[in-house]
This record gives sequence, C-alpha cells and structure tokens, in this order.
Amino acid sequence: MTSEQAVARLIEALEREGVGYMLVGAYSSNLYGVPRATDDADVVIEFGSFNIVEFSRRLGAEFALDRQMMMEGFTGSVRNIIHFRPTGFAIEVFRLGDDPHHRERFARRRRQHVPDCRCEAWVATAEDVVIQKLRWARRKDLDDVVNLLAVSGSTLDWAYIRRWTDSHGTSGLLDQLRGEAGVG
Amino acid sequence: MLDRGTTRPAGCVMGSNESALQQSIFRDKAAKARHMDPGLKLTAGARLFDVARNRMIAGIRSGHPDWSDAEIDAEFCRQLQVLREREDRGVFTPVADL
Repeated sequence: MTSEQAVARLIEALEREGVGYMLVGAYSSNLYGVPRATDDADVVIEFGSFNIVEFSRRLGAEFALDRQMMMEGFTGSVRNIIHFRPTGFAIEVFRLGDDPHHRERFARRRRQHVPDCRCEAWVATAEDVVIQKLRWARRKDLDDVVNLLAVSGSTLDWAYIRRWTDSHGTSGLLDQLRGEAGVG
Repeated sequence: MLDRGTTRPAGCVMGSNESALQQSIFRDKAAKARHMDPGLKLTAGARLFDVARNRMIAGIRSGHPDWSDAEIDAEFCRQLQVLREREDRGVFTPVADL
C-alpha cells in the first residue's frame, strides 16, 4: 500500500463511520495552490464519541497510533499522530476545539472527489487555508499561501479572509504575500 | 522579492535576468496548477512524498552499500523524525509537559 492509498483508506473509514471531519494543512493547500510533497495528512475531527484508539486499530496493522498528545500553541488544538508504518507517512489527527475560526472553518468545509477512493472527502475552503496558514506562519506555510494566492487568488472571498486576518493580527502579512503572489 | 516555490537558496542575490526568469517560472507553475485535476492535486502530497522517500532511500543506500534494508529504513525514519521535530519546534508541546 502506498501513502496515497493509506490516506484513501483513512477517508473511507471516516466516511463509513459517519465521523465529522475535514482535511486541512498541505492536503488542502495543494488542492488550491501548487502541489508539493508532504510527509503527513492533517485531519480535523469532531471527537464527541469518536475513539481514536479503536479507530486506529480498525485501519489495520500497517497503522500505529502514537498515544502522545501534542498541543498547538496558537489555537490550543490537540493532536495525535497515526503512523503508516510501510512508508513513514503520518496522519495528524486534530480535535476540533473551541477556537472561533476553527469552528467557522469546520462549518464552511466542502466536498471534493478523491481519486482511488469510493467517496468524496470533506476539505477546508481555500479562504480558511489562507487564514490558518497565516496564523502558523512557518516558512512552508507562507510559501503555500503565496502559491495558493497565485493560483486561486481571483476566486477568493477577500472580505471573509480580511475579517479573520484583522482579528488575528495577520493582515499586514497577508498584504505582503499578496504582493509577492502578484494579486492586487 | 518573489522567491516562493523555486530552488533559489535563501539570501542569494539575483540579477534582473534571474529575477525575471524566476517570475516567469513561478507564473508558469501557477498556470499549470490552475488546469490540473482537483482530485489529483488533493492527493499529490502523499504521492510526491513516496517519490521523495524512494530518492532519499537510494541516497542512503548509495552512501552505505553495506547496510541492510532494515538499517537503511531506520536511517530514513531517523532523518524524517529530525525534520518533523524541527517543524514542530515552537508550535507543538507535549500535553504531558504542560
């Protein structure tokens, strides 16, 4: 099984079990920008009664749950990692928390067809990819934003993006990256 | 200014010809991405990861021709872990440490 097939298995399992989820991170920025390699698939899950230990076990013996939980400093999101042993690819599972933007991002998620998958997947919108990556602002996040703006900038809801970047204090960075991407 | 997604090393000073070429490559990449199948774009990350992994493993094997497959795989995993820890630094904290 390849890493791509491992993610397809993850999506099919989430759909089968009726779990509220969406793909975020590089998976989502690749959809709207210029695709690049990534060593993980980030997925936000509405935990509720979701049991990640049981879920990971049902994915199969090639998947291994790292029980160490990590907390992301900007928004307080909690993360577990499921490792795909054959290739070292990682599935980073984030719990949907109370962060106001994360709540709205989840409500705005959309469906996207996935090749080699017998279903569609829930994915964050392009606007929400930009907003979140500006918050993290690591070098690779900013590169992703510039690429996304260059590819999809003319179709974005800029009023929505501006509302959140003003709230997060990232509007100056957004303007700089718009200049780099050539988006007026 | 515009150096995202290219191979130019950070801090390299470029002349106007190089800069124009770089911008042309960037625009070309963006135009191609606009016409790609969205489903294929969504799953490209893992596909490209496997390509990069195979190249990294070939590189490790070439540097250590006496190593077993298990040793090569362990070295690949070690290098990947170093990269992940560097990316997580300052962003993620183990919950047990809070």
